[in-house]
Amino acid sequence: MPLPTLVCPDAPGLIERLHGRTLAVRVDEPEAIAGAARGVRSSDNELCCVICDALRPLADLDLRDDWDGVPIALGVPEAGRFRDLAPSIPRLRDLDLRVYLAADRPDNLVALRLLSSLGVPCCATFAGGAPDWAALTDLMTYALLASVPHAPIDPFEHIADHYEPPFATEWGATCFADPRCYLHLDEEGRVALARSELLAGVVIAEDVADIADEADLVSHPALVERAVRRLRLFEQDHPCARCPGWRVCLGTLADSLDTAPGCAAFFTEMLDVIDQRRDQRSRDREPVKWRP
Amino acid sequence: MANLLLTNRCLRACPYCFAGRELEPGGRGTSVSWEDAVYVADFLFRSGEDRLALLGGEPMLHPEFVDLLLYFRARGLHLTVFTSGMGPAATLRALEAHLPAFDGDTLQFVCNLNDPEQTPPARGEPARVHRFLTAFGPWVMPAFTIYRPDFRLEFLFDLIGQHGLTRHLRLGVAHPVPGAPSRHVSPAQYREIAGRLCSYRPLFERFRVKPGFDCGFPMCQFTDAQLGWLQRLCGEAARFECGAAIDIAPDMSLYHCFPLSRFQRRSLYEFDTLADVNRFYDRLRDDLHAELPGIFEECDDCIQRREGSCAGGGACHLMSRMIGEASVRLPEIDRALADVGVPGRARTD
Repeated sequence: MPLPTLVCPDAPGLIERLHGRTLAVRVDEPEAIAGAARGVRSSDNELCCVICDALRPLADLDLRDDWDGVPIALGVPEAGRFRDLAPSIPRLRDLDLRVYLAADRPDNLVALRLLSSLGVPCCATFAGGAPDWAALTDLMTYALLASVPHAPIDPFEHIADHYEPPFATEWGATCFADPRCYLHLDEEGRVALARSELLAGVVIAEDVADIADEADLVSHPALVERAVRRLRLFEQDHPCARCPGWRVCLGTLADSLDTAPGCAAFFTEMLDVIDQRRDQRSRDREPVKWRP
Repeated sequence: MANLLLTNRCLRACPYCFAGRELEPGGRGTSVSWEDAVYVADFLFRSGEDRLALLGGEPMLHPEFVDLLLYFRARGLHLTVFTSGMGPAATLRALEAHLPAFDGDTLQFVCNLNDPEQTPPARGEPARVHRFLTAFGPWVMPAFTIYRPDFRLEFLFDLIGQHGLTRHLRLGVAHPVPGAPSRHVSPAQYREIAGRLCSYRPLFERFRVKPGFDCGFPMCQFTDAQLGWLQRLCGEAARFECGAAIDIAPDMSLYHCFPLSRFQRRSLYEFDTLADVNRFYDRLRDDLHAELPGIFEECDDCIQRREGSCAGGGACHLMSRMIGEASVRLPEIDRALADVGVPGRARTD
């Protein structure tokens, strides 16, 4: 297992302490994106991307010139009205950027489809409440089966690309939630397996220096516990343990099953859609050139 | 080109309306969803088609009309909006603000205008239409539907001059709706209509306005002299066609055109490309013409019809005529007649 990318705040003191690491820098304001990228690139670390959870709709953001060449993971609460967003579409396409929208808002499911259809990569996140599973199924089907060129919508694209039955497919990495790929640091350099755990003060190391190589991580009790927690669902005869969609869900929504019924049908349908997509792709098709 | 009905809501109640069965005059109506808008844009891309006409009802009554317009443009489509000009004030303001997004010929309005004296306007119609034409005049092609032989065109030349509308007048005739009552022009009235249209020659020439025909006009109803004048004025031969309009309803159902909306209605999801749709409806129209070549007896032997320079009038006339006949047509046509609710034409399958 290679050393995970470190998701850290834009703290010069911390970044200077790190050497030869790959960093995803988190900033609070879109205006800080370019500066954060420069900070990492001027250190002896490598920039994975800059993560920004903006509080304004995508349509209201100034897509600055200095974002050119910076990989950006841009979370927004909503896309905003299309009439306000339309002038930004060419710029969004040009940037190395992925838009993150919470899947529990119906208008966000529409926005994900619009952005994708216009060539803007995006990702649905599941951190909030229950999505409209029927609408989400429709979006997932569009993302994976639409024959017209469109930008990827994660995590569907990631899952479809990586699903190899009978093995389970991890897709938390699409939103920095897979500790095998991303560890989360605070300004002091404390390390957590997830952002939520970092915010709750649950850390696995008091200093990032304690996780110096893969051996420190692979056998770390917290990471082992994380894997075991999933297996316990089977011991508890949890509904997830009997769900055909387990191989792509991995019990990610197990804690919210009461508030999010419908996930089983969604993930089961996804398995079918992935099969259809593979059939579709196995047939030789002329690639169609993207035309915005 | 395909037509997408953004909404089936309309504020007018034109006496000649042949879209009536598809519209919901009162209430909120049904509007195209964003998901389906994306599907239509994808469908057109797959079809290699870069033009789309937006219809209603009144398309500007779609609550997100401006947003949809900008989306379709962002998908590279050239857009024609067929409107009565009766858009909400807020929509017109937003449209005005976003006009710079449409360069060149990427957006055009075709505004169907009624003679205020012969066709009583809807409530607030004159003021609304005036506001629309004032704001968008140069983007607007005027259109007029002929539904009575004593029609008048003077008001259109006034509007063209007053608002700087494009100097091309789109002329349609009111068509019958098979199986439903509607005010329309009968084949016996076409010659009188052609004569009246050509009586406006001085105005067409003085204002340098070119007439263009929507579907259903038969060529033979114009004299050679009238056809010659039309060709000289327009710089090209007039077309006398009846092609599939391909109307896509807000629920993604699909039909040949408004008058034949109950004739072999299908779903867009049944087809892969627009060419498939066209082939499907062309075949049905060919079946109709195999039974009845045209709206006149003379169509049987007409060389212009055989060579394709005239369609022999509208297919909706043929279908309307068959309704009153014994059930002796092709099974496909009998089934279609059953679909439009003709008594005694039970489906055989």
